[in-house]
Amino acid sequence: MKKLIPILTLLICAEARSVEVAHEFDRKEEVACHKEIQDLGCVDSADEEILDCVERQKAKLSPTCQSIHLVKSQK
Amino acid sequence: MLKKIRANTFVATTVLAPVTYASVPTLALTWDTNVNTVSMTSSQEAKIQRAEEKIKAVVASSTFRSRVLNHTYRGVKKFVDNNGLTNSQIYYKILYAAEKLQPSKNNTMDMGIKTYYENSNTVGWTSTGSTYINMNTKFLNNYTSTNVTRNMMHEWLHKLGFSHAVSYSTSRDYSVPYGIGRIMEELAANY
Ligand SMILES: [Zn+2]
Repeated sequence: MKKLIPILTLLICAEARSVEVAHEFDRKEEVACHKEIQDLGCVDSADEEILDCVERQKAKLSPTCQSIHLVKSQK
Repeated sequence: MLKKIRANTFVATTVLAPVTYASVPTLALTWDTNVNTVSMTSSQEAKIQRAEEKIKAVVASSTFRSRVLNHTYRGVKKFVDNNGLTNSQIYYKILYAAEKLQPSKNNTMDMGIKTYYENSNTVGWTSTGSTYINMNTKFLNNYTSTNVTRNMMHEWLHKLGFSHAVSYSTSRDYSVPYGIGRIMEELAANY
């Protein structure tokens, strides 16, 4: 049994890590926020937002965009 | 090989699995919903029921089949974040409806819906560790049943194991949850 405990712990941890939470935002607000992030220069060539770049400049974002970023960065 | 039996109705003369009728697989016609709602008002409940009827009608349609099979991203017939599946495999995954947490291929959308209120821009959220989805009543109360079909389909596709990028990008719109959610809403408007 003692030998099994580390294996079981590992399995439980792996299971806990595999749980993902997906938030859906109001589309209009999310698209407007993406534009703000683009204007900060925090969008790469594939149109993906660079979260740590946004994090450094988040004070420049509108309150709505800041709250969207907060939810995303909590993941 | 198709044999015409009635105007615009074809059946396969060779054995195909699953057999198709009127250009959709039988599984599309038998596809059902089993949605459990928790502490909703009667009008919220009615909206969800109406959305379920619309989702069933859309899934049974040959237009839905065609839109999913022909979904294109940058000139290639595929979805973004497709878990390595072709459009056809994704279509059948929807029809089999084996959720990660309720893995029998029961041809039924199994899902629970809980509501909450938050004065935020979050429409709702879901966890892969739960059979429920969570809808923010700030949005649900203003949505039409057609808008709700998009949200339900999107969240349910997460239950089937599909995911998408966290942040908005043009490519994210072509992911399975966003792409098929959008197709659902467009087609649900016809019912
Ligand atoms: Zn999602």
